[in-house]
Amino acid sequence: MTCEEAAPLLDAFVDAELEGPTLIDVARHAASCKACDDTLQALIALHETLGRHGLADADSVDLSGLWNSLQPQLAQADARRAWRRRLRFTPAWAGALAVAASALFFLSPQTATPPPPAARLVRPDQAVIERIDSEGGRFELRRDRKIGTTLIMVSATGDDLP
Amino acid sequence: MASSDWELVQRSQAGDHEAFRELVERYQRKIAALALGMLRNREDASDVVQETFAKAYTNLDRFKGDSALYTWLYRIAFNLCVDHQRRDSRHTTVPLEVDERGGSPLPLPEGEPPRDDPFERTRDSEIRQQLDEAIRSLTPEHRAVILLREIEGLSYEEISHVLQVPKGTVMSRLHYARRQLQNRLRGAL
Repeated sequence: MTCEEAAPLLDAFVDAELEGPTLIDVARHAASCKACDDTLQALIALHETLGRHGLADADSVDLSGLWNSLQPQLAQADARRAWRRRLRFTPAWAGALAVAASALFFLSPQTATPPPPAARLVRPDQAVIERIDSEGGRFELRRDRKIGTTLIMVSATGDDLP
Repeated sequence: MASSDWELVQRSQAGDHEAFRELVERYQRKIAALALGMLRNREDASDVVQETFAKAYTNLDRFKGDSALYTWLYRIAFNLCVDHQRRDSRHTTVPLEVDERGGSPLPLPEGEPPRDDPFERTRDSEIRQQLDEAIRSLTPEHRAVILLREIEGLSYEEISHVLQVPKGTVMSRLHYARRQLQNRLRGAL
């Protein structure tokens, strides 16, 4: 192994990330190459310095109130989770029913009769019947074109008209 | 016997706060180390730790256990740190070498004997300050890769998962960041 081949592997060598054969090759090369061995020693020194001073820092972070501060946030998260679960476990048929009802509403023909258009007089001798009150009765409209007469016959009892 | 992360996650998903509290206690220091390394400010780091666990709890249903919990937590924390830096790009950082509360140096790592030699103490203090400046000079991406590898001890595969980049990118970023730190710490190492 040459220095060019070993150089990119030295970090992984120190980090014990190399596979067996490569590990042995790098170790053999470093044993016979002062430059690569110096690089390895420098990496180890950096590792030790970072380990010693970095860990001291972490202990200085005040975490004494951490759990008390977290509790209200956990309660909020619990409430949100409960809602999500409630929605998730709503019976499927309820959803299907809601969809069917919506579809029925939008797709069915309009059954309610629209209000009649307001009567409008087109001639002076015209009359408009707005309403006929007859409980169970019958009525007929007969028009005689020859004499120009319109006959409105109403039977309040429901009997046949003559 | 201590419960596994996955058991605690499942209990937390069912709303068991005590289980989640155990997870918080298990990982709060690790997240704090990453946040402090990224932001170089204790108060901001403390805020990010809190936001990380709040966000993790809110999104716990999405965690399926196909990766380690801590890499998932690191990912949340890293993204929050980046957001924090973007949001508050003008924020001032307090040098970590000196404790702003009392002006005394930061405590030594657990298990390390106090240095009686004033020369050693001064040298430690200088190295820490240089280190702080060197780390601050890195981009967030390079800083993250150094912290996750050197401080947290994650493998390349895990770092790749946390930062959502290929393993090759992790390697090249790590190589570049180390060279930058070595150049800035020349003479101190």
